[in-house]
Amino acid sequence: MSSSRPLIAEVLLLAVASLGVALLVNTARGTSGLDLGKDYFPASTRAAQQAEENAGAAQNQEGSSSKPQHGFQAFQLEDAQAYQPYAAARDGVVFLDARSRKLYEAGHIPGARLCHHYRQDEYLPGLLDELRAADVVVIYCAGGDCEDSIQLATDLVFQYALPQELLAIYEGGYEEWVEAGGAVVEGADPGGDSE
Amino acid sequence: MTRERLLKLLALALGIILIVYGVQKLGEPSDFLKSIHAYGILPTQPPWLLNLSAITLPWLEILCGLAMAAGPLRRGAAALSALVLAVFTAAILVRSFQVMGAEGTPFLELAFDCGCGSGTVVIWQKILFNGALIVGTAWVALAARRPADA
Repeated sequence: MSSSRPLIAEVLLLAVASLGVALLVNTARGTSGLDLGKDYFPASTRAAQQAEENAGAAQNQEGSSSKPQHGFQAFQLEDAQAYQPYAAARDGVVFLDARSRKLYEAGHIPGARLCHHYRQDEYLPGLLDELRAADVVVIYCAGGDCEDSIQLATDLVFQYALPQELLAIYEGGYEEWVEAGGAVVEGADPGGDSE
Repeated sequence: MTRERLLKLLALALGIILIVYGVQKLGEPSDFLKSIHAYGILPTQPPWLLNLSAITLPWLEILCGLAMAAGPLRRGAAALSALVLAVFTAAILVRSFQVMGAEGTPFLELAFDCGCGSGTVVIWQKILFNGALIVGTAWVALAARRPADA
């Protein structure tokens, strides 16, 4: 009877109900839900594994709020500015925007292709041929603490076998680009057409 | 106002706050996932642990909020909410110290997106507010009568 229901039973009932609703809703969301078995932070996982292998020499990346270290070529603002016209002209350079569709459509670097890191299965099938044919792939996200560009680059190398040398991370990201007065365009991904 | 009525009003107010917190986190699951990851409390392996937490915690807040406001399971909802709020608040404090150490920002000037669903917040205010919520939910958990006592 409810009168004899102990506190722990109420807590467990709520916890199980929350788990059930969450799983149902996540399934109903389809591709916009989370894939429960997918590691969305492969760069952090690799950094943590390396730290373990080095017996702590790389000092606990997992517990830090800073970005994981990465072995990709790091692009600064000047590099991004120099390469962006080639990306806009679809001339051997691809800029990948790892942010969400909403942020991308609100404004992105001209010529950049949308590849939201957390929905990469949705975008990459249509992009892989273009990426493999490129001379340079520049990946960016918001900048600051955002690490989605690093996580996406790690997946491109270790899941999709793109050569690491092909990839560059624009570390300042979209925020730095805008602050520097760089051109931005709004709207959906133009596909293979130039912007 | 009787103590019982005050308790019900407080539970209703806390319930609404929890529902709002939960709903704010429901929009884009990857946003809340990133926030949890940024705290570095849960490991990235096995992946389901982080992913399951990201999809479940918002619903836990919503269901606890509903239970607090509606009455049945109020004690359990209040106790669970106090526990979750205490863990969140401790995590915000730990991250505050990390940011202070990395950037040298004084505590009273700290502001970042705590993943609480309301964007960038002033941290000392957030911690103070969470402290009040913890006290409130703990009081409801301790003071709410079981149905047999009512």
